[in-house]
Amino acid sequence: MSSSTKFLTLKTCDDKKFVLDEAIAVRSQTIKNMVEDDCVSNVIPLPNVNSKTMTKVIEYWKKHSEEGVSKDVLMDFDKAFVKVHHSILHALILAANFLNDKEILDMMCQEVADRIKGKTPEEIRKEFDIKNDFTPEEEEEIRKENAWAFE
Amino acid sequence: MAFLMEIPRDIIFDIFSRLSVKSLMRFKCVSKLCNSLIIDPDFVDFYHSHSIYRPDRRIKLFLRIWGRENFYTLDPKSRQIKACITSLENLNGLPYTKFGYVKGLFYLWSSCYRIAVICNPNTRETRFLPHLNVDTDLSYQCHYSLGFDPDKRRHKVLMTLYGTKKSTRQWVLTLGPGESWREIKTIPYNFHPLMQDGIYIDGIIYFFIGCSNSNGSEIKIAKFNVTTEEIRTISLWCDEEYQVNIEWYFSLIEIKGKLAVIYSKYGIIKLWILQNGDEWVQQLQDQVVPTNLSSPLCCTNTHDLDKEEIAIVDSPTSILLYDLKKKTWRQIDIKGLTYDDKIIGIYSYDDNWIYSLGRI
Repeated sequence: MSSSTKFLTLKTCDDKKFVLDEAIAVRSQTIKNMVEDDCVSNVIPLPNVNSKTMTKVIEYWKKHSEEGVSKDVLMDFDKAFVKVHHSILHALILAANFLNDKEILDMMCQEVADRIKGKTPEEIRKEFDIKNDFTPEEEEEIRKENAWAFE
Repeated sequence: MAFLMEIPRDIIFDIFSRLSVKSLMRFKCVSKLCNSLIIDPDFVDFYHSHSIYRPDRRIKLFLRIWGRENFYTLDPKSRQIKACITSLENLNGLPYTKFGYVKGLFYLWSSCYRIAVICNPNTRETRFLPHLNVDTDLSYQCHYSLGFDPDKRRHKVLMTLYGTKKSTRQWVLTLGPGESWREIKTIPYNFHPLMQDGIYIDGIIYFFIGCSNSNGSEIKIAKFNVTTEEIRTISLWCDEEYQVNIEWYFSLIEIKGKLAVIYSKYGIIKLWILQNGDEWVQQLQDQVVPTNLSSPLCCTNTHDLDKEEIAIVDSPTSILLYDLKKKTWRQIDIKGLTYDDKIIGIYSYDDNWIYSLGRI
């Protein structure tokens, strides 16, 4: 690492601080813009991201910034990375959106889509803890209208 | 935290655009929120332009074949036809000879008074329209046309009920939750629609009507604004022949967003395009159609982005496409049809419209 390595301090909404190499932190377009506009003081506040989510994001950033990591290793890492409870997926989507990290956002969107794909409505409700608020009559009607999708 | 709550809509749309129509239709059945997201016109528009299942932009045609209840899509590459609606058997064998296609939805109707059928070949939803509570008997006839309200982004059906010595009345139905027929104020003089299918272009439904006034009878085109639900008429150009033959040899067609009238008889076609709202300009004069059919059926333009083509049914197993710009013909042989088949309609379509027919 060169001697000119700069570090940034990120502060999450629950007041936890993360000290991070600037070269890694600028994977976030939001942070990059702040750095380029020179409006970075000592601490960058991230009011929309909690520390638990930020830990995950930094874990991803670090892995993807490592030198000499093979594609296969990264693919396995990504696969394991998205295998989380839907509430964490949810938080990661919001964080990636706030941080403007297209790579993480894209991966998370694909994961949500993959969890919907090929599933019955019952399985989707279970997967995402969604309450069925149709009346039995409404549910029968909407399933009848879309009977083909259940073949 | 509830699923998808707080996530910006553009991200939700991004997620859903990665799903097939079949997955989306199952997702609709999960909860009311899930259903409302999928039927949201903003999402329907987004899915149409951004779905990863977006097919190529080559021309795509639906065929309707006499005696067969299914619609068929024509694969542009293999030129093979494939049945695309399988749930039409619930039509109980009722003959629906008239049909049209507007922004993702087909409507089937018959001029004998009968409730029309609507279907979306992508989501495979098919259903009858609601009944109209009006006393009718066999002497009544009706005319249906479908349009799209660009403001509210909902489909609307225009129904015209007429009969000998009866005054013509019109109703409108907005498809979707809470739908019901509403009677509208119609043209203030005596008229009846002709049997041809109407056409929808850019917020307006057009259909031929016969008008009678003190000067006798005259053929005109009714122009129904789908948003305001106002109806006006357009006069045709002066020509002796059209007044007599219009019912059989003329049809309405869209050419690059403009209304056009096409005539096809004895192996020639003529074409008039409406310019500036009231001026008919003849674009084709006695263009010879390279076909053996005496009166080839002109059905659709192909909505090809780069071309101005019209599709013409040429024989039981082929269609002809005429390029208005290059003035050239090309023939598409269709595999999967026999000489006993008869194509009775071609519609160019756009694959990814997922407008819902649901009433929930």
